[in-house]
Amino acid sequence: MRTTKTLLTAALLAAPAAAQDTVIRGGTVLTVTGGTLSPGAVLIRDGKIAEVGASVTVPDGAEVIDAAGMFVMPGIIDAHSHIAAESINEGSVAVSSMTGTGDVVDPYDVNIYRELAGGVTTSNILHGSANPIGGLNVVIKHRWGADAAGLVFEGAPPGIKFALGENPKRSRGMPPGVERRYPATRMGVQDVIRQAFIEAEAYRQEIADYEAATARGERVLPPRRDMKLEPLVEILEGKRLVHAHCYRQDEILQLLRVAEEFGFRIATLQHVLEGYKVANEIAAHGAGASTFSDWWAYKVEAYDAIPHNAALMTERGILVSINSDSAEEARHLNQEAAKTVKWGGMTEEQALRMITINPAIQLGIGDRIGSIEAGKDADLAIFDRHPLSTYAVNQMTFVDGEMLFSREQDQAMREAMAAERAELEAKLSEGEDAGPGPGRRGGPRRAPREGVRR
Amino acid sequence: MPSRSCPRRPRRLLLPLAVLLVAAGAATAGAQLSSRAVADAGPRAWAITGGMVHVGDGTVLDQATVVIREGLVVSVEAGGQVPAGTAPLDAAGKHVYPGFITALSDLGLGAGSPPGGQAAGPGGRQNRPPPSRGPEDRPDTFSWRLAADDIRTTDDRMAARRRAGFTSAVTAPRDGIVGGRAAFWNLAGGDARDLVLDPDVAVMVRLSTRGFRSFPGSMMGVIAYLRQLFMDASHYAEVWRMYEEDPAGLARPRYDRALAPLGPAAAGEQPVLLPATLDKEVRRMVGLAEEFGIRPVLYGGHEAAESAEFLAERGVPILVDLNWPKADPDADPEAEVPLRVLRRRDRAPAGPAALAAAGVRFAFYMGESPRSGPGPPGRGGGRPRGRGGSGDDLAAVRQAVERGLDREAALTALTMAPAEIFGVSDRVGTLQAGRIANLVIADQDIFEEDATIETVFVDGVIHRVDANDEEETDGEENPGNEERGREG
Repeated sequence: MRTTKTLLTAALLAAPAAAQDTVIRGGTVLTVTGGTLSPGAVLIRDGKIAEVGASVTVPDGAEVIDAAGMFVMPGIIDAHSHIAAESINEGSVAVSSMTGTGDVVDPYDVNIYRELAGGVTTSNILHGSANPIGGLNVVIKHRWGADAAGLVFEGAPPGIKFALGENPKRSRGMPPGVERRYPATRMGVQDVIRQAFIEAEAYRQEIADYEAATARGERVLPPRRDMKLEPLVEILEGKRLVHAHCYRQDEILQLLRVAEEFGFRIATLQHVLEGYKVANEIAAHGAGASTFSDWWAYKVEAYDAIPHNAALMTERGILVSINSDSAEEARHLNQEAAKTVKWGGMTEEQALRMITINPAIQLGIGDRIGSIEAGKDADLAIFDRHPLSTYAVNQMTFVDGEMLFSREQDQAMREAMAAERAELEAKLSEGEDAGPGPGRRGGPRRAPREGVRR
Repeated sequence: MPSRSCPRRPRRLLLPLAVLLVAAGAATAGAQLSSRAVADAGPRAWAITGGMVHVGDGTVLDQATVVIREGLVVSVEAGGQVPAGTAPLDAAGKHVYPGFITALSDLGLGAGSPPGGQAAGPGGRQNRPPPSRGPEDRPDTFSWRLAADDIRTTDDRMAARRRAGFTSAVTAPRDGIVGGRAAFWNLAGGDARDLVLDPDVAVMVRLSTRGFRSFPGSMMGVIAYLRQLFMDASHYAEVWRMYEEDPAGLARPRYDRALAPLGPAAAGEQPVLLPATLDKEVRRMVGLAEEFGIRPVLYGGHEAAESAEFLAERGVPILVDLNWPKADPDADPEAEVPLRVLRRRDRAPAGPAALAAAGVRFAFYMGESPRSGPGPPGRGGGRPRGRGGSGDDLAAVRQAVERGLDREAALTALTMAPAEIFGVSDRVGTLQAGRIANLVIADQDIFEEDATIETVFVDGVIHRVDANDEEETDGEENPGNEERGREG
C-alpha cells in the first residue's frame, strides 16, 4: 500500500530496513497491562511485538536500540481527533450519516508526523459536532508517508459521530440572515435522533419485507439503498460504534435513554465533562467515556467541568480515556494523562491506560494495540523520562515496527529539507522568470482564457 | 493596423476569378495561382505534398502525400501522386500532424464566466436555488444536460485554439457536481450541429459545493452524494428494466431526469470525468470509482510522477492540465510555501514523462485555475487563482518534452490518446485513410521551441494561420462553407 513515500520518510526508513528484526533493550518497559519491566526489552519482528521481558532473544543481524535510561511505552492512542481529514463537518443537514471522514483522509497533513513526534501512533478521526447524527469516523495509524488507504487501521470496527447540546442546536456562530435549522434545543436534538432511528427501523423492515417476498418467489421491485439509513441500521444491529459528543448531565441521560429505547449501546461518550454527575448511569449503560484532562468554562455547557472527572468516572467503573480533539494537544497526551494522577489520585498505570489500552478497547482494537504484549502491533514510543513527567520528551516512535520518528533523524531531515527548499526556490524563480509567456516571439496577443472550472 | 488589413483586400478580389477558373475545369491553372484561391472554388479536395507526415500511431512518412476529399482523408502515402481534381499544397520541408485534441474544455460555451462566480448571470444570488436538504434533492445535478446542445461557434476563443493546432475539443458542461455529458466536436465555424462527432462521450463531475448550509456542504458530503447518486442510478436502471419487461403487478417506478441518463455511467459503460490534481486525489478518486463501479477518466494530474505506477496498475487514464502550477502572485510574501508545493511546481511538467514510462494512457487539456497552494478541488469552487497561465498549450507540452517526455508520446497525448479515451479513435486522432481530415501543418517539428503552425484543416476545410499577424483567415477561402457566426 505504501507506494508514496515522501523524501521525508524515505530518509527515515533508510536506517532500519522494514523487514529487519529490532531489539529495544536497556531501558524501562511500561507494558501497561503487564506491569513495568526495569530493565526490560522488546523484540520486534514483522511489525509485531515478538517478545517482551527483562531480556529477549537477540537474533543475528537484529538492529539493537540501546534505551538505557529511557522509557518504552505503547504508542499513544487519541480517541478524538480531526487531523488528516479534508473536511470535518457536513453541516447542511441534521443527520449526515451518509458522509464519512474515511472518504477524505488527507495523507499530506503534517500533523500525522507531528503527532508521531509526541508518541501518538493511532487516532480516531471523527466527523465534527455540527449535527445530532454526524458522519462516519475512520481510525488511522500514523503511517506517515503512506497513502490514504495505507493509513486506515485495517479491521477497526466502524463507528459514527453523534453530537448533543450547543453545537448541533446551533446556539452560536450562524451569520445573520441564515435561517435557523431544526433542532434549536436539546429536546429537538433528542427528537432528531429518535426520528432517525424510527426511519431506520422502517427501512430495515422494508429490506426484510423485500427479502421475504423474493424468498417466497414473488416478483417485486428491489428497494432503494439508503446510505443515510444503512449506518443507523448497523447501529441497531450492534455493528457500528456510536461516539457521542456531549457535555451536560441532562443530555447524556437523554441519549442513553434513546439508545436503550432502540436497544443499542453507546460505545463512547466524548468530552462528557459532566460525566462525573451521572457516572452510575453511564456505567450501568456500559458506555465508555473519553474526556479532556482539565479544560473547562470555555463555553456555557463546560462551566461545571472539573479536572477530577476522569478519576471519578474510573472509580465508578467506567472505561475512561483522555483525548485531545486538537492537533496541538495530541502531541502531549502523556502530560494530559499525568494530570489524572494529580487530580484524582490515579495510579501511574491507570493514567497510562487512559491514553493506551483504554482508548484501544473503546475503539474495538484492544486486541491489536494499546499495550506491550507479545503478538500485538509494534507501535511504541520511547521517552527519555517517565512519560508522565512534565520533562519527558519522546525520542522515537515506531508504527508496525517501523521507526517513523526519531528526534535525531528529525534534526538531520531539517537540514536536508532546508537544502532542498533553497534549491527548489532558486530553480523555480529562475524557471518561472524565463518560462514561455507573452512577450516572446514578437508578443502575440494572449489567447482568451479557456478552461475547465472545477 | 494597416499591416493586418492590407492583405485582405486583394484576396477578396481574387475570389470570383478563382471560381470561374476552376469551374472551367482549369485545375492546372489553379496551381499557378495561390493555392488559397484555388481552394475557394473547388470541391474540398487537397493533396498535401512533400511533407514529413506524422501519422500519429508512431509511423512517420517522409516526403509523403496526404490526399483529403470532402472532409475525409483519402490516402496517406510516402511519395504519392497528386490526383486529378485536388488542389496541391506544397508542404516540402514542413511537418504534417493529425489535428490536436484538447481533452477537456468549455470551448463553445462562451468566453468564460466572471471570476469566482458559479452563480453567474443576471440576478446572481437571487437566482440561486434554495438550499438542498439531502441527496434526494439532487443538488447541482444536471445529468440530463448535453454540452453539445449548448455549443455555439461564436465563442471567440476557437480561432486561437485552431491557431495552436487544435482541431477538436471535448467540451464539458460548466458548473454542477454532475454538470452533464461532455461532447467531442470539431473546432470549425458554422452550425455546431455539423461539428459534433459524439454528443455524449463522458459524464462530467466536479467536487463543488454551495456552502455550509446546502447539502452537500463539504468534500465528504459531495463524495457521499456521488456514492448515493450512482447507487440510485443503478437502482433506477434495474427497476425500470424490470418494469418494462413486464409491468403487470408492479408498482410503477418514478421518473427521474437526474438518474435516467446516468445508467450507462453507473454500469461502468460510459466514462466519468473526475477531478484529481494531486496524487492523493488520484488515489481517492480511483478508489471511489472502484467502489462505485464506474469507469474513471481523471483530470488534473499535477503530481503525475507520483501517481504514474498507481494509474498504470489500475489502468486508469488521466487528462493532464497543461496549466502547470506556478507561484500564486497574490500569496502572502511572508508565508512559507510548503515544500510539497514547491516540489509540485518543479515536478509537474515532469509528470507526463513518468506517465508515458509507466504506460498510462494520458491526454492534455488547458485548465483554467492553477492551484499553487494545497487544498482540495472544489473548495472555492474553481475560483481562478494566479494568472491562469499563458494559454499556450504547445509551450507547456514542450516543457514536458524538456522534462523527458518522448516527442512521439507527446504527440500521442495530443491526438490518438484523447480520441481513444473518448471512444472516437475510429474517426480522429491519426492520419489514416477514411479518418476525418483534421490536420496540422507546421514549419518544423512542433516540439521545437520556435515552431509555427501555418495551416490547419478541420473537416477538410483549410484554416490558414498568417504568420505576420497571427490572424486566422479561415472560411473566406471556402465559400461553400458559410459561417454564420464567424469567430475572430
